[in-house]
Amino acid sequence: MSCRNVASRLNAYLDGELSAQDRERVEQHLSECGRCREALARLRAAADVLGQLPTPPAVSEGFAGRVVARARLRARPQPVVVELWRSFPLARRIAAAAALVLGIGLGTLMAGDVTRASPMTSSADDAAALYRLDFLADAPEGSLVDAYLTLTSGANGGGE
Amino acid sequence: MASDEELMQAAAGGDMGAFGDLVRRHQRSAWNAAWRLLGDAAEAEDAAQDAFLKVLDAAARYRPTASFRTYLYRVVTRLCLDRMEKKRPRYVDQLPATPSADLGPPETLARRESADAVRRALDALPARQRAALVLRHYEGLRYQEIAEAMGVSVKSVERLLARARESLADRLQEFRRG
Repeated sequence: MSCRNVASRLNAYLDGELSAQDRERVEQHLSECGRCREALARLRAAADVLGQLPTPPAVSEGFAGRVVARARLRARPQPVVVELWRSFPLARRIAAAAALVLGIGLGTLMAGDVTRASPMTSSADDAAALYRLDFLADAPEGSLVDAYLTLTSGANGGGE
Repeated sequence: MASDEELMQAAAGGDMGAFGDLVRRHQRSAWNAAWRLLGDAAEAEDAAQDAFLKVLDAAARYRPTASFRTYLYRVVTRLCLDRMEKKRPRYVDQLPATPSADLGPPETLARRESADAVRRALDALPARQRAALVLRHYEGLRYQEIAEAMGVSVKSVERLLARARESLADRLQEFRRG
C-alpha cells in the first residue's frame, strides 16, 4: 500500500472503521513508514485533545415536562377565530395588521385635531358642549366627523 | 420496559405519557449533542426541545430502519446545523477574557489555557466539520450513523473528519508554538 492510499485511510483506521484486511495492510505500511506514523500521531493528538473540552452540564430540570407541555399546547384545539386567522397567508395577515394599526393611528390623530380646535372654557360649559358635540363644529368639510354630523343632525335636531 | 419503537407508536396515537417517556430516555443524548454543537445552553435547550417536537410530528410516519437514537441524532444535527450555519457557535463568549494568574498552580492555568485553545479551535471549524467531529468523538457514532444523521455519504463523513482533524492539528500546533 502506498503512502497516498494509507493517508486516505488513516482517519478510518484511527476510528476503527476499516475492514480487517485494510487494517492489516495499513499496519504493515505503518511499520515501515516513519512519515505515515508521524501523520497518524498528529491525527491522534488532535483527537486526544478533544477530551479536554468540559462535559456538558446536566440536562436542565423539568426538560421533559416542558417538552410535553409544549406538545400538549400545540395539540389543543384553537378558537375558530384563531384558526381562521391562521388560515390566511402570512402576507395577508401582515397587511391586515398594518391596516388596523394605521386606522387606529389616524383615528387617534383626528380626534386629537378636533379637540384641540375647540378648547373648553368651564366645566359646566364643557359638559354642555360635550353633550351638544360642539367640539365637532369645526370639523373640516368632507371629513369623517363632518359626515357623522350630517347623518345625525336630523335625528337630534342639530344637537338641541 | 417498552422499546423506543413501541413508545413512538403510542406517541403517534396521541399518548403523551409515552412521548414523555421517550423524551426522558433520550434527553441526555439530544442535549449533549446540541450543547456541543451550539456551545450555548439556551440555544441547546431550544434545539433539543424542537428536536423532540419534530420527532413527535413525524411519529406517525416513523419506520425503525435505523435505531431511534440515530434517528434522533439526525433531527438534532440538522436543527443545529441550520442554526450554526446562520451564526457562529458561542463557545468563545463563555470564556474569560484573559486567563487570570490567580487561578491556582501553573499546571491548572496551563490546562485551562489548553482547554480554551481547544474550544476556540473547535469553534473555528466549519459547521459540518464540527458536527461530524462532535458526533464521532462525543456521541460515539459510527461513520454510517454519522452519515445518516447528517444526510451525507460515508465517504463525505471521512472527508469531513479528515479536514476537521487537520484543522485542529494545525491550530493546536500554532497554540503550542506560542
